[in-house]
Amino acid sequence: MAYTGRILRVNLSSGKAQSEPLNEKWAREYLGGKGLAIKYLYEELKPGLDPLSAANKLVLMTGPLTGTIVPATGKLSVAAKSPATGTILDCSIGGHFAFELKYAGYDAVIIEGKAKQPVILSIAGGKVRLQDAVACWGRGAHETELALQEAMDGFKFLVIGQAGEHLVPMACISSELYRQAGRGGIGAVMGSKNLKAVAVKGGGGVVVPDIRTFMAAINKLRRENTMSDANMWVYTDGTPMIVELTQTTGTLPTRNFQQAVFEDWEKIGSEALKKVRAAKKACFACPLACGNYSRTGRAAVEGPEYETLALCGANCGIGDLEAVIEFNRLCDDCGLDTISAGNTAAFAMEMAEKGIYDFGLRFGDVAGYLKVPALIARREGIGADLALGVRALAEKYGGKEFAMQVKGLEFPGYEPRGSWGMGLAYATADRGACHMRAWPIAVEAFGEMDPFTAEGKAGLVKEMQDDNAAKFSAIFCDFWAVDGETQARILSAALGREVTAAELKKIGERIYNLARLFNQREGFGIKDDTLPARIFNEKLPGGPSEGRLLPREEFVKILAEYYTLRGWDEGGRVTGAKIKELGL
Amino acid sequence: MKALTFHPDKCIGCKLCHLACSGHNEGQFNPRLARLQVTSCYTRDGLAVSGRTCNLDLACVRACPAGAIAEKKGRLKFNLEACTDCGLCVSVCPNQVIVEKDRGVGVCVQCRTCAGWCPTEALTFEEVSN
Amino acid sequence: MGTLKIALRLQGPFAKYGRGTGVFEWEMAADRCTVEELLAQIGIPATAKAFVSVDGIKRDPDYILQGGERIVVFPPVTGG
Repeated sequence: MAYTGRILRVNLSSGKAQSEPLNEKWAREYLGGKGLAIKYLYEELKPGLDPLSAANKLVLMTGPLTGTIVPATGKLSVAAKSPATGTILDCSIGGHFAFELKYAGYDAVIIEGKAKQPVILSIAGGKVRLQDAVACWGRGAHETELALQEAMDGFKFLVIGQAGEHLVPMACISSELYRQAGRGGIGAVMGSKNLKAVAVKGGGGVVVPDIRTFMAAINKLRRENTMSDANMWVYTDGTPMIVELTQTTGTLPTRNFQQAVFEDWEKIGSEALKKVRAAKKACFACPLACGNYSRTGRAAVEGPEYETLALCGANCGIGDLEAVIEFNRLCDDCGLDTISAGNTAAFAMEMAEKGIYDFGLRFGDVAGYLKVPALIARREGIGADLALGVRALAEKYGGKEFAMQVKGLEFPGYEPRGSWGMGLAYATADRGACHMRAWPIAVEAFGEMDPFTAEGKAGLVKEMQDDNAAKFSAIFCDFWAVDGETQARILSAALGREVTAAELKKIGERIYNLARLFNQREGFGIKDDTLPARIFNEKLPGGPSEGRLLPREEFVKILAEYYTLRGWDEGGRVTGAKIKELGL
Repeated sequence: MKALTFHPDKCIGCKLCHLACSGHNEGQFNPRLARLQVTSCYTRDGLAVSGRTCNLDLACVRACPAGAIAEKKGRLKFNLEACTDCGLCVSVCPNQVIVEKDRGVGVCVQCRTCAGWCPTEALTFEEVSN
Repeated sequence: MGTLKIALRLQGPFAKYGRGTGVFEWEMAADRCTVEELLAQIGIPATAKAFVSVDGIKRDPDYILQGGERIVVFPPVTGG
């Protein structure tokens, strides 16, 4: 059936691997992906543990539709307690790994403990093996994965680069070279376990009730819904199209969020990128193929995505597309999250500008900038400090008011002063400043809602958070604008039991509250649901958002309204009544 | 004769063709049971896309000692009862798209389900010369 | 009635309503028209909720065009 009903639990300290049944009650209450991964972690992680200790666990979770022919379901949730923030952390990675895991017979893998020496975990044909990884320890993610690919036919991989090995809190996990579980230092969790790679090869299949009827319905949906005008921008352009949208609306982070328009935006925009596009590339089962394989004389990468163009381009004052492509490739190879790396470089550039500390980095200076990824990943030279990330850098040297982060996670590429809902979204996202929990800018600055008002934003953000929590647990990709009713219809057909949109909504709310409970248990609350002072105090100097800020009193108002709508108390704590209502 | 044809320049590597083929012909989503072979992956030389489909070369028909595979009106027909599981067809197929199963083999029947799912027309049904 | 000339770029899937990707000149027999009327002329349905930029600034459907503008029409987006 859609679930395999089996979970693989591997303890790297003891070397023991065992298969256990999936908790079916939890699977009903949390679906899979994000929600189910958080549920397992909430139940199994002791409060207060060190995220880089053997006590943390790394969960690889598929969803009920993984392995089926449903479009845009190719992602895998990867979760742990975050070394960057100390909050719950779930990331989402595309590619082909998730399907392979399902075909190998597992809904999830829970990785515990710490190997004595570097290892690769391989899963195939019911056999789980640990292989020596001493030879590839110290190597980049690209070299590692290419070598493994050549040696292990038919396997799919998750790997870390040097950043994960050096426990850098912005280390990511990558797959197929250019797909990442990017944020919150998920790669450092893998590194802390001495786990260089996970390899999986499946052989089995996934069945659904009445497969021919199912296929006919899904193919119609693929043509008429997935591949309609509402989604095909993903294929024609992909996320680089957003550069022009943020530029046009005054929300493109520029020079460490000092400005919100970038004079060289066209050089790093979608039209420029199309000129170097060599091919389109998709995740498993996805007709939208968001991936742009870009190749110039000097560099090649699948990307850069919008976040990279914004944060490693405009935000560093870099209007040289080839340089951004190369920075992107270096981050991917070293195993660094481009959002956090771009922010950190930009913060260091502004520190120099303000005379706080000089790391030798300047806005617009390509040569210094291109040295950053490798130095951070190995904690060498200036990288020893930069690897701390923006929050810790500010604590050490100063500049806290323009350290663009929430809970220790650096800002994504949307200026909250130009779209106020984004401010609330960053402040209340379960893993720190994140644009994937809620993306209100789509209906504010890019849509019909006034971006510069508090009105309606609390409800908007709450609804989006709940909807996305369910969507990322059923595992539909963000890029398919599929509504709750359609999701419910697909899940019902695949699972052979009725799932309603109302139920999905409830599941989303349950998941968001469980993530909040996890963070609450770790000591997080209203004091942490805030934004850097720059957003409250500094007016944007030009562009469509000229003169705008998000006044602190307006933010406080939106936050209070948000807590009320969530049914949390005035300190942002999940109440007993809410716990009971959601069956937590 | 007309047969499936693969166009690598159009392929995005989504594998919907593999899922469509296995779902339609084997009753399960299992890309390894697909009667075609499309791959798209990054190598040291960049993105490598390749694909093999049945081009009705008919080497299997000629080789089968039991007469279990026949060609009729441009389509292969497989007779499970006649099949002796010798595996010769699998080894002679120039496109390596015959799938070995627990019992018998899976041959492409030019049902074109894969082409019907391909989002980029990387799979078409065209005149082939053998 | 005069002729309204506009430099138009239709982004993403909207390219099919015009002359493919890139900028092209659009002519209308009118002295002025709203963004909404322009979209209707091109054939982009109102339900598509297009995002329209006029000379680099986002404009509402009732914004009045006088000719000579650079216009980009984007589809709505989800996910970042």
